[in-house]
Amino acid sequence: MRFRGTAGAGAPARRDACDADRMLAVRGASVGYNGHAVLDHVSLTVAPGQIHCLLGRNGVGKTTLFRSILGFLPLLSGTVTVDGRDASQLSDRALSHVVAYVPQAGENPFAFSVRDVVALGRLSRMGVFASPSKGDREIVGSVLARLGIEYLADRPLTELSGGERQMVLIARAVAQEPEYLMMDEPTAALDLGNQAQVLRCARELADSGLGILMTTHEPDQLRMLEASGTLIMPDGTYLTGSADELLARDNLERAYGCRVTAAEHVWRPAL
Amino acid sequence: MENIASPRVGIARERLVVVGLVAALVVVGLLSLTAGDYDMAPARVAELVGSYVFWWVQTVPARISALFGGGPAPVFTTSRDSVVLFVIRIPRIVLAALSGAALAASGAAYQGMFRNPMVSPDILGVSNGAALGAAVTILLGFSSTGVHVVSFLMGLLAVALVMTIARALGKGSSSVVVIILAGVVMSSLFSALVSLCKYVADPDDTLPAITYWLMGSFSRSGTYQNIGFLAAVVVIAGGLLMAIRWRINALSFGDDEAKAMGVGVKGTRLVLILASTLLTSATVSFCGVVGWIGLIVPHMARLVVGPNYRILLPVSMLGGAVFTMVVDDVARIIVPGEMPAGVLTALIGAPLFIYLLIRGRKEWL
Repeated sequence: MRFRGTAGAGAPARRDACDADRMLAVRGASVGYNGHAVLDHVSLTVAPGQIHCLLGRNGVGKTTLFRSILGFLPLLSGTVTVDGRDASQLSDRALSHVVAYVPQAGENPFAFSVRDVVALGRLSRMGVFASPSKGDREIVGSVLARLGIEYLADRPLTELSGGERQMVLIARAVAQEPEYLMMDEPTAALDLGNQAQVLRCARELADSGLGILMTTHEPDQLRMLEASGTLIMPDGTYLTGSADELLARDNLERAYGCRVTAAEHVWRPAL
Repeated sequence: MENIASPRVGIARERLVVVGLVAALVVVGLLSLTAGDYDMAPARVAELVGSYVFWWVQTVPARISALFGGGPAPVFTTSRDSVVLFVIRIPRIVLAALSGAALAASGAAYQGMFRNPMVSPDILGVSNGAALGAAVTILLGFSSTGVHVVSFLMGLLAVALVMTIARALGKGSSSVVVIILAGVVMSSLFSALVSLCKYVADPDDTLPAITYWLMGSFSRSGTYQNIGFLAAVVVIAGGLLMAIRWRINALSFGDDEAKAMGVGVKGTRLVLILASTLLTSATVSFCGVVGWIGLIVPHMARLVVGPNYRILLPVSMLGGAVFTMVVDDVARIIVPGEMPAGVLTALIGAPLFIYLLIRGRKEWL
């Protein structure tokens, strides 16, 4: 596995310049469909080791922004750069070496084994016509071990629970050996235990040096993950900051269009 | 070797399946030599094959000298039996096997790309396009070679047209749904044009010719030239699909996920469609429309070895070859004269498919 943050003893000045480049940066991006902007002039950055959450109510453009950053949708204006390189200029293959996508656990009609699914994460590092090599298979094994899901290796994907499936999709993304993970509502429809597993996993991956951008509907997760966040308002403006800066009553009420209370005794998964 | 095991399947089992299918291919192929209206005992078959091999080895020098203008090429003395065996049966059996492999491979590939196990190889209109080519050329009185060539090209053209329309509809980004819609629309257009050809055809002559052609049969195109062409298509296009087998796995997770895994979705899809179209169009132009094979054979293969194209694709091709040879044997034996293979595949395929759906529902729905 590639771990970041061990750049070694280079010249300090140069390392600073280098570190400034080391980020996933969205600058002045307008995103939308067919030329109609859903969100205008969004800027945000995710640094290695950092988790950044995208918050906002349904339909506000989180997913559109997310898909645009991944290159599934063309940007209407602005740029997305990864480690200083313009993402739109990178091939799918080159981008997939740096940014990996963890989709919401969706449906595949075929009963692929977990091992095969995670092996697909190695595709971008294999020759175009090749099969996973011995080295690839070892990486698949070590990723499964690292995420603590070796016991799922030979199970068919179609027979897994939602939480297990989410972990497998994370494993597939980690097998790509990326520097950034894009997680689309990773805890949607999961019970407390599975939420805890997925969030703990995200935190550990970030601690090992990955930068993570995730969408979520749980403002509390900012605190749990010690993450920064971007809170998108219904009018298309947004706030960026730490949990303490964002999670104020009037911010949340404006963002979600309802009254909120800070409850004293709410059970949430502990990481 | 890759030994990433499928869910319920170890490498040993995969090997067993492949070896079993190769053995079945040989055994069914040999049994097929004796099947048909014209009685030929296995001993007689062995005797004829033996004498042909003996003749072939013996006349190698004579043929080499004939090649350089040193006299006439030697000719194998034929009998009634040897004509039935070498001119009719062997090419027909090989044609059936190659057709089955081709249809099963393209069906399996399309099912992955369209993420739908209900898809068959003619989803993009290749069969109806090829059928239209055949109907028009039969109407115009072309030779059988002319019918094959035009029908093959029309199959390719039909899919090219579908892809162009899909691209126009999708404004550059042709999604899978748009491709399927364009395929359905064009298929039905081609089938209307085939009906038009039938309507204007001479009811005593060309109408029955078109009708029989459409039913699908392996009896009419078994020449060594035809099977040479089909074999080349199966090797090239089948090889192309085998080469991108891991990419087909990725495509079955949807375009977005495949793209994020670094798979060039458009390019992969293009290669897959091109290969599948070549396979199906070549088959249809020789054998007419023989349905169901491309739908049910990949299903059965998936039940046995799982969905990974690494193993699913070769097993589908072998299984398709065996299945189609068996169907063709039954077509020859079941009634005096014979039965159109296309009718028989539907009669076998429909109930078998329903049975497979009941048994394996968990895996695909």
